[in-house]
Amino acid sequence: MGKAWSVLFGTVLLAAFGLFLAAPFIPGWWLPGNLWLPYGSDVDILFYVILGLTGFFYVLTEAILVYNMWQFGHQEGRKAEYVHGNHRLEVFWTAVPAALLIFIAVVQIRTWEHIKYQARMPEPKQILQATGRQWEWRIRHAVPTGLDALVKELDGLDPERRKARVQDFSALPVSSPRGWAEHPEADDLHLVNELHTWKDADVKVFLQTLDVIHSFFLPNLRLKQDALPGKTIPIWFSVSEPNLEYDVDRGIWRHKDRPGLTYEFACAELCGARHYAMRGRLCVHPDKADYLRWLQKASARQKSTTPEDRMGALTVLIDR
Amino acid sequence: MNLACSPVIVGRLLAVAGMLLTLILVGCDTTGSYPADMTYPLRTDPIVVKTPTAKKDYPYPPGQLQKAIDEVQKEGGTLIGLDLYLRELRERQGKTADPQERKKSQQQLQEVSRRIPRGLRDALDASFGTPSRPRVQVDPSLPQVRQINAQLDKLKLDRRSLDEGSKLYRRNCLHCHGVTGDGRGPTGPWVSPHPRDYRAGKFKFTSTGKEARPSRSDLLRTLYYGLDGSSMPSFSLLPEKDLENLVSYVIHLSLRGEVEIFLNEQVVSEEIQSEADIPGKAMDKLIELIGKWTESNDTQLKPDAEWMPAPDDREAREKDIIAGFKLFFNKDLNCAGCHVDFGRASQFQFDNWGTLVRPNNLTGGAYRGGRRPIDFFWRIRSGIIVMTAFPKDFEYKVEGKAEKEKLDDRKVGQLVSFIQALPYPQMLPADLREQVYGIRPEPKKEKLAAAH
Repeated sequence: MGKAWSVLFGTVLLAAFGLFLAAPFIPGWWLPGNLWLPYGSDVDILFYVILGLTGFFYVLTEAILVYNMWQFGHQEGRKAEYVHGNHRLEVFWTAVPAALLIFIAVVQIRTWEHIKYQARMPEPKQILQATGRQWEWRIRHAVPTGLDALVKELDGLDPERRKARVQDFSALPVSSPRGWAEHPEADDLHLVNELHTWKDADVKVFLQTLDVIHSFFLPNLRLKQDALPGKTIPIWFSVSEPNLEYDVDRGIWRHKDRPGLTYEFACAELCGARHYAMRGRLCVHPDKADYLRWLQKASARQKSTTPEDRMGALTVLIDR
Repeated sequence: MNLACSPVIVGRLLAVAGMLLTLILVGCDTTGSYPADMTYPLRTDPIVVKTPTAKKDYPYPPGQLQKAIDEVQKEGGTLIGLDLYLRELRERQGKTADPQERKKSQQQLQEVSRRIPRGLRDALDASFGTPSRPRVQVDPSLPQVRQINAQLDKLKLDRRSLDEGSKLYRRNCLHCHGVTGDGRGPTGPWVSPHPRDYRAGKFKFTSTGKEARPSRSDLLRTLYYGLDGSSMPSFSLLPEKDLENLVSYVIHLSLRGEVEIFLNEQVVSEEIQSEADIPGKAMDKLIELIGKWTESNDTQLKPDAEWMPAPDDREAREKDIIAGFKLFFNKDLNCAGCHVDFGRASQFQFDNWGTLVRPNNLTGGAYRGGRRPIDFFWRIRSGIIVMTAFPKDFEYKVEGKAEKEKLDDRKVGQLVSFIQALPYPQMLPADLREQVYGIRPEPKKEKLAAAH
């Protein structure tokens, strides 16, 4: 009977391990597509390193457990041995994991520093302010002055000149990024559950929360940061692949996601009844000019003095 | 024998596992709709017919909604309801000595406590169906049935939309807004402001004018953007079809609620004396309401073309802000009377649903109904139920002028310019800035940069 328990344990653990081996090949069961190069990939590398180490120890310890259950389970007539312990063995199996943990701690510093340290964040090309509240994300985009004139000008230029013209145009407001995050401006664009950026733009997002702790989570960028009440916390990222395409005829943008890849952000800290619903769409324009064109249109809609379409929706600009 | 393999232990483990599995499976629901045998419960909470005018400094603590509404009477308001009426009848019966009178009041009690609720339930279920199969049905033998069905189509209150809407509602809205749309779902008591009670047929953020129902697009807008500053989230992630179906279902709940209120009022005022009176009255009211909703659905207040200056015309803007400031403090318009200190010191007031709410802090920059100029226009012209509506012909006296002025669209534009600028000190002219924020010089941008 004792052997039956060890068989049960062994089977369950083996099944779990088997599921784990199969997971990378089942759609939706493994890591989502990585859109932040190189730092997102760095995170993935660290993940695999840690997975390898812990996986090895998992198999090892479980195998030893099952073996011992099988071999030394209760038997009639056999008494348990009392063992004083093996000093050398115990030192070994403390020192080795300790060394491995130190290794993990050291090997991740670089990546953590690049992603999290404010001093290492690059000069942002775009700044946003994301406020989490139960149960949605309210995202504020900075609208630079002179945008209307610029977009009009861009429409008359060829792609080369357009690129050059846009390069010099700063999408940042005049005051400091943090100052802007804490003191909204009158012409900021307010959106709900929607974030716009463009390919390879270094985006700095200032997180705030109106009520409880939320966590801004971008799965495709391997980025997660708690939003704490009372604090303004900056994060940065850059998306390497766009997912929007401008339809000139209809004057709106269309989603062009890579199949199997959903660009989204979500809340990663349980915050109440609709925590699961606190998701948003990450909209990445192919280049800065396209982003500015969208920004100008959306901003004009926010200044609307006439009832336009049925919903007067800012984001009917994005065709779902 | 090894304890771990005792048949008793193994048996118990299997039993526990079996129970857990059963519990999990019981919760599994493949249809997504309400249980088929579930019916809408009749209203038991009282109806606020007169709102108290008292102002309070603090709202009631969360979780005490019913207690708060029951206190409306103490504050000078009036509540009616079937339960209250029954209580009154019993008191009356207790007081009469005359045997004839006693018999009559006993019959009345029987009618009101048994047959009338049954009649209400039948009439309402006949017209509005059940949660799993919601409908808006009129008597097919009526002469104007074709016209009414056309109106129902316009309002998208067809069978399909309502069925789908019911499923979506159950999943997304029920926990706050309740089964009957009474705002008393499990989450309801814990959020402030209180979730909307649809049953009164009143909605706050409309574009259709005073006393009108919201249009479908108003409800869609609320669903799409949420109400910034309240617990109503944005549902923009749902497909548009789902939002349309939800709007249909909300209209259905509102219709049912209003008909129910009307019937309750009629019972209490003794215009409905017996069960037989109910179906006719219910049908008449339903037809009237469908007409009202259809009319509102076709209405959308539009401002004059030149009601606001062009966004880049700074001079005109500044003039408007100053004019808007003066209007804000006008005694007849009395904006400052409710939005005390621009909303920073507003007191709580009773709304039509008996809850305490506070006029918005206009220096905060958060606006529930939307932040576009057109949204502000609609708030002023349509009102926000508790906030009165200011139609085009609203007259107000200006100091130094003999004749009263009318609040035309241009004046509303001035007010809107002021309200838009109010949260941003640097947008206000210097002397206004000082009055609002106490800051004299222009806030230095360099200072902000240096601090970080």
